Amino acid sequence: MYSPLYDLNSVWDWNWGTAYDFTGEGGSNLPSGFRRTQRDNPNLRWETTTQHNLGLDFAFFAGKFGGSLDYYLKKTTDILMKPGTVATLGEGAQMWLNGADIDNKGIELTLNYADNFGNVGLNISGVVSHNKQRILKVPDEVINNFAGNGTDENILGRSRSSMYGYIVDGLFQSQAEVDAHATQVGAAPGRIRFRDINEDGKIDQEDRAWLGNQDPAAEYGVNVGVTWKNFDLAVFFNGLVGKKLNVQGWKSWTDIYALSTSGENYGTRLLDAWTPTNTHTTIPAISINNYNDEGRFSTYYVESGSDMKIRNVELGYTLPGTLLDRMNMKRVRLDLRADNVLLLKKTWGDNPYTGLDPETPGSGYPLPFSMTFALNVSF
Amino acid sequence: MKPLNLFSLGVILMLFGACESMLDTKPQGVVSDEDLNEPEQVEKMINAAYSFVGQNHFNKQMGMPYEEGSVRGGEAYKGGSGTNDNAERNRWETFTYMQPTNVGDLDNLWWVHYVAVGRVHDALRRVKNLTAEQYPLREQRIAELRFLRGHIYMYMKQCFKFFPYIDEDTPQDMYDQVSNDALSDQELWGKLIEDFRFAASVLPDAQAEVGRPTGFAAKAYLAKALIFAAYEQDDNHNVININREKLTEVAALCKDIIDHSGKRLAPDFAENFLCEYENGTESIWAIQYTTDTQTGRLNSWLVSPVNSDYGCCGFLQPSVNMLNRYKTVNGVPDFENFNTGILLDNKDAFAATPMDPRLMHTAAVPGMPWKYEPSYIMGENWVRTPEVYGYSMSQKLLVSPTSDCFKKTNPFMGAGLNWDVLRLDEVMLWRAEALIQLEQEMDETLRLINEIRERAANSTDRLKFADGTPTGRFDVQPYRPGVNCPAWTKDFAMQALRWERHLEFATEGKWFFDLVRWGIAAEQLNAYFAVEKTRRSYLRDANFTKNRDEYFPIPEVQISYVKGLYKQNAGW
Repeated sequence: MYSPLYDLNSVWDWNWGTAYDFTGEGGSNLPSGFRRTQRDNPNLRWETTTQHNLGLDFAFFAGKFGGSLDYYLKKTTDILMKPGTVATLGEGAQMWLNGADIDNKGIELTLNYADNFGNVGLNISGVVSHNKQRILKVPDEVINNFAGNGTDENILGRSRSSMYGYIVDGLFQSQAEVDAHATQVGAAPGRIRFRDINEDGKIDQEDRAWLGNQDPAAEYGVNVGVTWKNFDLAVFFNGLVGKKLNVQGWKSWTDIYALSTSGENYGTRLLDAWTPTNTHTTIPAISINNYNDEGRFSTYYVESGSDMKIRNVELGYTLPGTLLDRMNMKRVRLDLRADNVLLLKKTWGDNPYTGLDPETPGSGYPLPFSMTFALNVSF
Repeated sequence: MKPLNLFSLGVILMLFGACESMLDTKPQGVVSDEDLNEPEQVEKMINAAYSFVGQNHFNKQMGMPYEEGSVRGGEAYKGGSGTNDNAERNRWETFTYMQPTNVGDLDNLWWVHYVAVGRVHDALRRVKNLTAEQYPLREQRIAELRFLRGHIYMYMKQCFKFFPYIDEDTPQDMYDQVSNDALSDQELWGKLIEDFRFAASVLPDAQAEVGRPTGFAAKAYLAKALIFAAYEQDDNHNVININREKLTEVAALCKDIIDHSGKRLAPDFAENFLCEYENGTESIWAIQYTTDTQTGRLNSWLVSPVNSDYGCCGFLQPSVNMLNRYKTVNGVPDFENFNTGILLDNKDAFAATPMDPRLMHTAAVPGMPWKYEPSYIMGENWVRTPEVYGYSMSQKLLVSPTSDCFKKTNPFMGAGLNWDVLRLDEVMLWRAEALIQLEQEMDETLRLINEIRERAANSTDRLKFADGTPTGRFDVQPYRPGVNCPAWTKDFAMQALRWERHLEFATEGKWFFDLVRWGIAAEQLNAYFAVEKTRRSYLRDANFTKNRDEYFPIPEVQISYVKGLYKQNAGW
């Protein structure tokens, strides 16, 4: 597929225009032509999804305790994608094609419990789910658009969110440590030490490994409701466990001085960067040049994305009926609601989360805490 | 049924009908492959191919390879806001920390050249499917396109040595199955030579449109390909043989151009770097840049000074080593001691030191007139990061901010100044080089080099302060063996030839490739670093690794796309 383009008026994109000044005389209407914008794919098919569910609903103790268990198999075939191409294919070589077959298997368990203890009513419901994704099939020409080493290590049998990269063994603390390590271009005290996985004495792209995937082991959500006389209280919290997160996009900016824009402001994490006297840190030394290539994808950029959030808490009070009758009202309810009340994230261990909120990893702003007071009157 | 409902039904039916035919309509604004095969459309595809060869975006350019050829050759520092500004180019310049996995800029350049050659092949296939009756220009356009292909692949050859060679006969579904080691070093040169030889045999002596190559342009490019191929390399880039047959042809081709093309040296060297003389007497083939497109086809994106008349970005700052090479003693280069003693990097030194005036055409320092305007004086605040890169700026590629040829593109700026890819002065020096290596017609080699030097000596009219005094102590003379230089032996002549190329083409993106061609890159560049790092501390870790740094690594991203089919260059 081709399209005409005289000149692309953008200094930030490279110029795909087709005009040329053959005469050397200039002029505002130079001869121009066409450029290829994408390749046709006559074999393109719609992607299809098939899903099978097996469910079980149950209730015990006169309905006080109940729930459901759902097991599903979901297979998506011929996922549409427009992958990148090797340079030799040239301009407009990209095309839409049916890229992969993906298999998702999952289980979801919902539990409810409701009971009354005198004046106190209790209602708890929870859901926990687990999903496992595997890529079953990828056309050969597309496979290196997914994680992998380009030759024998590829995405097949793994989740689409799999990560492949270098393993970091802390920072070099001394020249002696640098000397004792495999040859690593740019190595120096205070710089990131990459593991020589294949033990060939040099650090290169053969020293990459699978670093897990970004799918959580489980997602959960819990609703707790309590009533007492005319008061009601509801708390909802949810979270993820066993989740890894690729934070390369922003951590390479917050932690690696040379990868940010020189002359601009930097984040406070750099205050704890390695120096000969500040060695108990994970943040590499500040340097103008990124000779150690610390922007490369590695475990430095894999953090825990597990969290637990109290999404909202709501406290309500409903006016007693006797009062309402006198005021000709059917129902009056006052409530106070708080959103985004609490975030617990993993801040310990070897992969603590260093950003604000693992749910919005690229953002410099947390989800705002807010409180709402409501008066609800029905006549 | 009420009438209204009948009407509604009609509308609905009409809509359905419309949908059916709409689905069959071709999308607007796009053209399908098979609609571009008529001669008129094929001309447009050729147009697109030329246009991309003039594509010169600031960090993905097809333009003059001044960083690849001049910054890496020690003629100039990268410049800009510091070593981390366009950081990859700092690694090109210092070599030490280059890694094939960390070369996004090279990956772009690799990609951009395949886009360019892809447009050439798209057009070429369409031209070849027409007959001469349908398309009288058929043969000539084929020759032009093959010339363009040679031009594009020349960059790949000089920078990467081995690259996947694709031509118009390669099936398009096989493009990603062509390896970069399918052809040997010499076989790849052979492909370039073949294209230029064909173009030389077909193209006319003159073209009505100056942007299209003439037969003489093809001969000049053929000579260039041959002279590079003549210095035969082993697998580790060592020069192991000099091919006399190829050099003999170079000498003959260049003589043909000098004698018959009608081209002559411009009276003043300056004319090669001023818009008003574009496509002039010395230019053999140039990329036609213009300020008439919005941003599209401009030269000199990042190399302007940072004073308010320009604005950005202060790249390409001549090295002290390069400036020092313009010192003369008895009118000839100070071969042995140029890089010691007084430094030719300031106004006082210019006034006190005998020098070749070509320095003033190439570079400027604070206090000196800029771009031949006696009262437009370069200030210290024109340079961006003097604490790292000093105070020099290059000016060959720039035009005056008051010129019609200057254009601001916010936040960048550019010039409509052409890039002379092939110029008669270089053809003369190729002939001299070939003859010196062959040890033939040594008098002729002396005459050729001296003709270049005499023109340089005469290129001082524009080099004046406002009061009319010269901007430097100019003293450049022809070589007079036994008088101001030793006997004109092969060794001395070759030294003089090398020096002349440096003085004539500094900052034009040639020197590094010259050093690799001559097989002396490692010794020359490490000698350069040994001294230059005492002047510019950012060079302290710089080191050229012999048998590796002669060529860039193949970007690993590309190797990954083809699952390891490409072979990484020696040493990487």
